[in-house]
Amino acid sequence: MFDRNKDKQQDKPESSSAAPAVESSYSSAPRPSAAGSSGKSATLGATIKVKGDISGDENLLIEGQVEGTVNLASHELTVGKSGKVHADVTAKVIRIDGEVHGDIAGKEKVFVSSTSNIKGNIVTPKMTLEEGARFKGTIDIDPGHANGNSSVTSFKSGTPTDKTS
Amino acid sequence: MTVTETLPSRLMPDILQKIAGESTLMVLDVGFGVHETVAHFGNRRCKLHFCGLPDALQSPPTLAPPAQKTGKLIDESIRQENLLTAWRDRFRSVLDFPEDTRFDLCLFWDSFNYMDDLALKAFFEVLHPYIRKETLGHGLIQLKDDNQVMNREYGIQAQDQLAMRPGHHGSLASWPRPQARVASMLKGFAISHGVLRRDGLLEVSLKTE
Repeated sequence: MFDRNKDKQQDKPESSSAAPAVESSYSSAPRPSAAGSSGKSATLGATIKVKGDISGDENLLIEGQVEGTVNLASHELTVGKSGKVHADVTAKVIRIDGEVHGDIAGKEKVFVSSTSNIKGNIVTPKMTLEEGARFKGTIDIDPGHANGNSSVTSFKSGTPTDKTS
Repeated sequence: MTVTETLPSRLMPDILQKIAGESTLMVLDVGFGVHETVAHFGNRRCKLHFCGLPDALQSPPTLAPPAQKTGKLIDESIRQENLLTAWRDRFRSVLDFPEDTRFDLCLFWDSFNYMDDLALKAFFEVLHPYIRKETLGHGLIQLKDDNQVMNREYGIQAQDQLAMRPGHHGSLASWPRPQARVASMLKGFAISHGVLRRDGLLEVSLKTE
């Protein structure tokens, strides 16, 4: 189902400057670094529709449509410009250029570009909103909690850190 | 390409300084999240709530006018109360936070100016449960008609600087008002300081009463 692009650099893990093939057609705006520890990356193409849960041990670029959940706890997720994700998503690093309706948990970092369309809340230690991007929702930032257990559940019931009168 | 201007702020430094010690800063921005504001707060523990109020003001609630058809007299005060209720319902969906949420800082920007008296009153009534004794606020009041100061989006560029760019809500009407009239409708808040800006907007800092 996925167009699996094994990164040509996978035999050279030290070469962190090389971008995976799936990113070659993208803009020069900041994006997650190259393939994660597995050295693999996958693309869900623009004509692909998935209903269900997606998890895995490699980076993922979504250009198609997803309904369900996406969980790449140790890897990087990019929702491309044509991507439509109606799901709660979790990943180590998340970049959103397309549409996400759901809660977003980035364990290290979330980057929201100006072309994005998000309805949902974001939990992450580090958040970047690109110039020109407009966001409606909640962003929970905890810089001291990098790679921790960022969880979107905190939005739904309030958290112990919420202020009370 | 959108042009972003930087505006000096006389009141924001004091507001930000007062809340600097909060362990988890709870911020309500009634507009949309822009990169300057996210970047400003992004290096500390915080929750930033962007409620996109301009979207909720695009089509004001209206009441069905059955009076003429049924021949009943409509008391204007009842009509106003019904409209107020409609606004309250509208804003409850905008300010839909967990019950125990209490904000340290409310960034109202120029939102006062796009709400008529009923809407403004309803908005602050709905917001009231989410403020606490030490909540601070910031706003920009339009005192007189001036298209130049409408349809703007704001962010925090730095402690003493606001980022300002053209907004996406050019179709909204504005209701310029004197400071005292605005203040009378901000349930739970009082204006602590006001500075008349060069562009004619009155920058105000708010504290809870």
